[in-house]
Amino acid sequence: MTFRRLTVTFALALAGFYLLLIFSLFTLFQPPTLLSALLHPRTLFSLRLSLLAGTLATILSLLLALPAAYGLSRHRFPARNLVDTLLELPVVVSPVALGAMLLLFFTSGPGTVLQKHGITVPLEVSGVVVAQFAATAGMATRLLKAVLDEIPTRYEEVARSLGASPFRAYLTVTLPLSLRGMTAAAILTWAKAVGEFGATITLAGSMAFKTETLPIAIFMALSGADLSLTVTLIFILVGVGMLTLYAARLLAGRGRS
Amino acid sequence: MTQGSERLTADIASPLLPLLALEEITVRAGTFFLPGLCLRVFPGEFHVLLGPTGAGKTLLLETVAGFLRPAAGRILLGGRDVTALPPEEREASYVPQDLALFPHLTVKDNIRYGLRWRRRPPGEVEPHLETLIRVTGIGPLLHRRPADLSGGEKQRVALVRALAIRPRLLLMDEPLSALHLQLRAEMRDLLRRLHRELRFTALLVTHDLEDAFALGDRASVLLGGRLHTAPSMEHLYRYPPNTAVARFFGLPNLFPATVKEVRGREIVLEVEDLGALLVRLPEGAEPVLDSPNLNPGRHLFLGLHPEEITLVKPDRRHLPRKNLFSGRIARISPRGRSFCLLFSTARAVLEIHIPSYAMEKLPIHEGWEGEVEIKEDKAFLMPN
Repeated sequence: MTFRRLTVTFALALAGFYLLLIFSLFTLFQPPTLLSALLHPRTLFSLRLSLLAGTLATILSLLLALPAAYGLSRHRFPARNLVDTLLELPVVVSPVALGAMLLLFFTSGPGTVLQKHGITVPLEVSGVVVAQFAATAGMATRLLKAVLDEIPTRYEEVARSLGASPFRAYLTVTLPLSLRGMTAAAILTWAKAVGEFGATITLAGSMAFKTETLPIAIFMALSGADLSLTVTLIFILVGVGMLTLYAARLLAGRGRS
Repeated sequence: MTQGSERLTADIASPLLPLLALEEITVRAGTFFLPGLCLRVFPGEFHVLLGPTGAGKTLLLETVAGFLRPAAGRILLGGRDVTALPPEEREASYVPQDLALFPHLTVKDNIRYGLRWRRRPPGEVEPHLETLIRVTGIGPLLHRRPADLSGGEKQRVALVRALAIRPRLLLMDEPLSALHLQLRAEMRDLLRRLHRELRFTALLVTHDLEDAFALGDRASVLLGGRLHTAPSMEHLYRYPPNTAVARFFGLPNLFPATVKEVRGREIVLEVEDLGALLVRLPEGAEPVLDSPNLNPGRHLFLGLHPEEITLVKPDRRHLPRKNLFSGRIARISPRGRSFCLLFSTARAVLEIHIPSYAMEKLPIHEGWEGEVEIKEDKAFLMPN
């Protein structure tokens, strides 16, 4: 077996493994339950909450991540490596730990200031958004930085020598050139936010019709031994996730041509 | 407003005032270090900055453009201190080596890019743009994107984009290096024509001698962290300021020598491996040599341009001559337009170039024994 064949076989084997996982859902799949579970108000609420909170968290993440990524990509500054490392925190630390840290921040840490001003985050819908934001902001920054790193600084330099301020050069040159990559990064961030479980359930809890997102609903259905509902909910999540990822791949691929 | 009037006075004040002046500029970037460089570029001048790869030419250009802040020194542009100004306030258009045409914009939008930020009356902008488009012939390309342009076309578009804003100074970094020979010659020609027509001030960085000869009104060479400026490219080539520059030009025949006697402009040298040689200093060689210190006993270097060593035909030997050296031709190798002869004297080897047409009339061959003459005003001296 050639090296090339060997490596491709490994890729196929891994893909096959995940495909098997999806197929095993079908052992418990009953089309009638799918429809009734899908149209159940609790499912619809979870789906809507997941999409809304996920979108909101993504927007928040990107709003902060875009300038941060630009700074990290274009400028050398003291503690740049430290910043880079801290942005990895949500990846390195287990989501439950991240959620617990958030919970402590809002209940006994500096976050109590918000509580005093009537802003409650734990066990609230806002907690869902905050947890998803915390889980995705670092990743979004790193994704966007990678996109910006691909755009040579030459373009901005030329733009500035022609009279454009740094912000104008960014708006008229760097942003349009990185649009596809940024869209792909945004979609990935969104998928990650929608699928977030550990931090969300730890900070916002799992209250039906309040903070129960789709992943939490899956966990609750499984805990209640309702396997057909579990399978249905997973189908919805897999469908949403795979579609967005595929869209991201298409966009990124077209950007490269 | 103030900027405009300031510029006007600076431009018409005096042609002797430099448009660009680098005063003791020190550049530090990573491990790279350029100490205390001075450079003057005068209004309307096409200045070529020569140097081998890795000499720091690009770094210096980026410092002038404003992408790098010098560690010390001042940059004056149009009489104004711009050392602390960002690139967008320097009005120095930059054409990088890879041109960096904006790939998402059409040619038309590329060349108008700078005009977006420089509001000027259309009556002033449009005729200027039309001239640029006419001279460069990019009219048919206006609606294309950079990806659909050939190398030469990209080159022209980048030039027009840079000149469209009527910059105080045009900065170019090896703009011709990516082109093949024929196109290179065409682009040089185009640059010269543009410069004649528009009289902009340019600073062009290159490692290519032909570019420098074809384009430079004046030339500087950056080598080993030192910058030497000459009144012309010919002058720089004719009288290299030191052996490092001479070697960069590919000049052979460099010999250590000692001053024996100084008689006005005439100097008798004792050249290592070659013997006594009489040299007459031409006008303009003094700044290179700091001649006040040109006393007997001084050590320096002698250089002989290989085109200017002449073979003495046997039938002319009876004429009175100085600076004659006898030896034999060790090797003759063709070099296209000329032949390269290696002439061995007792202890030295001289490289001699003879044009192909002249070669035909010479009765010489490998192993030929005879004499060569070094005309006393054709040698050049270098302090180190």
